[in-house]
Amino acid sequence: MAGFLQQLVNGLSLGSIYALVALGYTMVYGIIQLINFAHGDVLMVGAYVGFAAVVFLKLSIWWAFLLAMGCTALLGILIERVAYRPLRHRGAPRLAALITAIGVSLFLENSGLLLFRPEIRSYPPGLILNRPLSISLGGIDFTVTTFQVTILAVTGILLLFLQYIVYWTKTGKAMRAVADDADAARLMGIDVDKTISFTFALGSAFAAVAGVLLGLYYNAIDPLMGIMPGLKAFIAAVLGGIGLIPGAVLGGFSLGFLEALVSGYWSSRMRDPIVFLLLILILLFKPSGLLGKNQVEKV
Amino acid sequence: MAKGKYIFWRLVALLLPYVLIQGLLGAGLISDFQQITLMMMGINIILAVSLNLIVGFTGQLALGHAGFMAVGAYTAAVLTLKIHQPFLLSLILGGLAASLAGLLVGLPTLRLKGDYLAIATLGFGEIIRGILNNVEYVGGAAGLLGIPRLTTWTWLYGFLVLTLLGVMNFVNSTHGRACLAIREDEIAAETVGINTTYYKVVAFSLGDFFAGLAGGLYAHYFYLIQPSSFSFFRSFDVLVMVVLGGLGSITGSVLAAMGITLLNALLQDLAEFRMIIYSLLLILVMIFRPQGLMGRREWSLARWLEKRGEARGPAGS
Amino acid sequence: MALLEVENLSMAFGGLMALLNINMQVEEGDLIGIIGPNGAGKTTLFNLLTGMYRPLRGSIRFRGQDIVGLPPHKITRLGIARTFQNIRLFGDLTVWDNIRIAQHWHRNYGLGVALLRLPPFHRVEEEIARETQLLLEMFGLEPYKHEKARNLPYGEQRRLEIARALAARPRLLLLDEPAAGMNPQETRELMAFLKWLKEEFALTLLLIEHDMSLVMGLCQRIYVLDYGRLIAVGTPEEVQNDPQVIEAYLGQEVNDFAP
Repeated sequence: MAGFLQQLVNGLSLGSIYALVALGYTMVYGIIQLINFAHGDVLMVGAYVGFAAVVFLKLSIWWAFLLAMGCTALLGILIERVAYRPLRHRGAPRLAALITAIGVSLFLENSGLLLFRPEIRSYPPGLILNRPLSISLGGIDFTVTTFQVTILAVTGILLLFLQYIVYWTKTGKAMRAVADDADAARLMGIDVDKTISFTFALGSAFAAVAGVLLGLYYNAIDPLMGIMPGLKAFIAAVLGGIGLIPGAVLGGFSLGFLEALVSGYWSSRMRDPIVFLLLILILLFKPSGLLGKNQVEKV
Repeated sequence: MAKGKYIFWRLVALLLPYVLIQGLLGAGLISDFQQITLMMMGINIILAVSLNLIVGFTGQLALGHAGFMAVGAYTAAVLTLKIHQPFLLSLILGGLAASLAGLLVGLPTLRLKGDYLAIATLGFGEIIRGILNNVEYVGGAAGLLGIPRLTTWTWLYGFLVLTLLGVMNFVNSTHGRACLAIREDEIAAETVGINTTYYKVVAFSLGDFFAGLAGGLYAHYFYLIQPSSFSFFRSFDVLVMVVLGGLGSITGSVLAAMGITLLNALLQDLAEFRMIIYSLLLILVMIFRPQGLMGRREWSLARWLEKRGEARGPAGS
Repeated sequence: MALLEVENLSMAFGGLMALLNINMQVEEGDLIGIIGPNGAGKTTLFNLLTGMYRPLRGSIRFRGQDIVGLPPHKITRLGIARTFQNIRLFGDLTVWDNIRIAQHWHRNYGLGVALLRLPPFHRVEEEIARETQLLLEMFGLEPYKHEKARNLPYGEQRRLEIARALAARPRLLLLDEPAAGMNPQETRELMAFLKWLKEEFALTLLLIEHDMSLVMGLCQRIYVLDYGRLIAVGTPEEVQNDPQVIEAYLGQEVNDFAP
């Protein structure tokens, strides 16, 4: 039982990182029904910006987070502007948009390989206090590190921030309106393109935080580091119900737990295949996700 | 145009590349490096044409082509290496195994909307790799070594022609038109009586059959196969060929597969640079020329002969 | 036995009842109109009849067979074809191919025959080509044979969609607003065309239409829907004098009812 609880705690940190990435997928999907394959690579860029901020600019890790968020927000806007918007305005088929997204993803990965070189880099030690805390809960002992607590806290703060944006600001209202019906939103005077840009910026900034956290968590960054977390976060978004913000969070945490359990009780080599198997199972039995409602598709 | 003449030209067009290359090989005029490039061209053409059947003609974005290629490669390699079966039989069984895997993935996921299919097939490719990595019988992560080198230019060319003829015959039949209808409008396709799920599965398992075949040919040319040779980067590579060549153009797929294989070989030391160019091309093509370089046009021998005939004055028929 | 029998058919989207307890009887050779204000559930009814949606309750019997739960392509094969309010052609394919595709289910050959180009391939393809040519000539679409469907003028697209539906060999044809976007002259031509169509192909027709002159002038019987309910059934005269119908349409153009 103690072992199980320990796995859950471990799953919690990875789960929050997945949740942060999944939010970006789900927001973009919710608003323009596109799987933004490049989202994982935006995370990678965020991790490198954070790395540069800490190593070259000698900034503290908190400034590194902010700088990474700012840069990737701009990157997100740029990607949307250059690659996706022309297709959307032309009413191109979804297949074209998906292929473009794959193109953007490959472009970022290979630019990363060219610019940052393929070698693995590490954040300098001691950026975030990482001390084990022994906790005893109802007679069960387990260990949490202060770093794990930090990850959870950062995620929590960002989630509250997102709630505030989506439900309490005018831009958030516009986002919800465009997600519901872009044409109607346009008729109501909402600048649809600007709202979509903002969504990309927000999602990308969240991915950047996840990128820096991942870099600290594994103590390694490389230009292809975004691929797997990107795919898994997408699975998390589908698991929770794509397009739904609470779904992304629930999906992210569930996936984190599942991975921790598979690694802990079976084999870490089976972790990825099991996660993908989970995806296929959800798609089979509940394609609308845990929180989604099965809807009749209007013809 | 005389029918006999048409058949004659057709045979010439069919056999000329084979005879030419075979002659050069026999004369020892092709270096090892050029030979590898040549074989990869053939394998990539089979992969691209078969993926085009799924993505270009049926409109289903599948990102697991490398996974199905792996199924074919491993099946065929185990059959020749461990069970000592004849090459031809092993290749065909490899193709059928890939096709069966396609059926297993396709039946449940093809009911879903396009973007889910993309992720599900990508996930499937990774599951296959995960399994191969963990099965000691096929060498785990180290892969299968010492596969007999049985793939010759003759075998490859034979299967290449079979693939092209098979896919062309399929797309120009009522079955192929059913697939096109699905790409154009799935709902309208159902309302004219087309069983859309059935045809998605048919396109999927037929395409995967050829991918498995390509895998078998690949395994028996390079002695060694590893799970890492079949990652989704390879699937993306094939997708680039299909998109650049033109979604729904077999000629385009053939040309793009040849061109990209050649570029890959020439720019071997500039892998990232090359991929940056491909990815930019992918984006630019989708934005400015979504029909691909060839569009949906096909090169046709009959039309070419007709034009030639017109240029020379009316041909007697 | 009626060709089509609908009993207590109901459909809901979310919590909203789109159709409630609809009953219909269509005899072979009928020409029936379905009218009602926007959002009354007319297209939803078509989507239920063709298997696009699964009803919440109720039964649909076509030629005596219960078709609820059958996938759309099976229903088409039993003999129900349709057109769409917003025209759904295979846009990037030629007019020729659009018609050829619709013959898929009844002029077929095996997969092996196709892959190996065995003799039945050529025989069946010739039959398909002959029927395609015939249909295109009948519908005046021959000149557009090699055009992409999306490049056709609007009226021709509508006609092509009907031709395509007929190539699927229906006994019951559902037309969703065939006169949409037409001027009165074109509407009059359409009326003559539909009469000819019905005779020529021995069809039973069910049509949704907003143009009252067309419905009243053409249909033997009219079903009136309002907010998902069937509020009246009868001959054009009966329907026009029905107080409930008049109320449903009040506020709309009253001269809709001028025949």
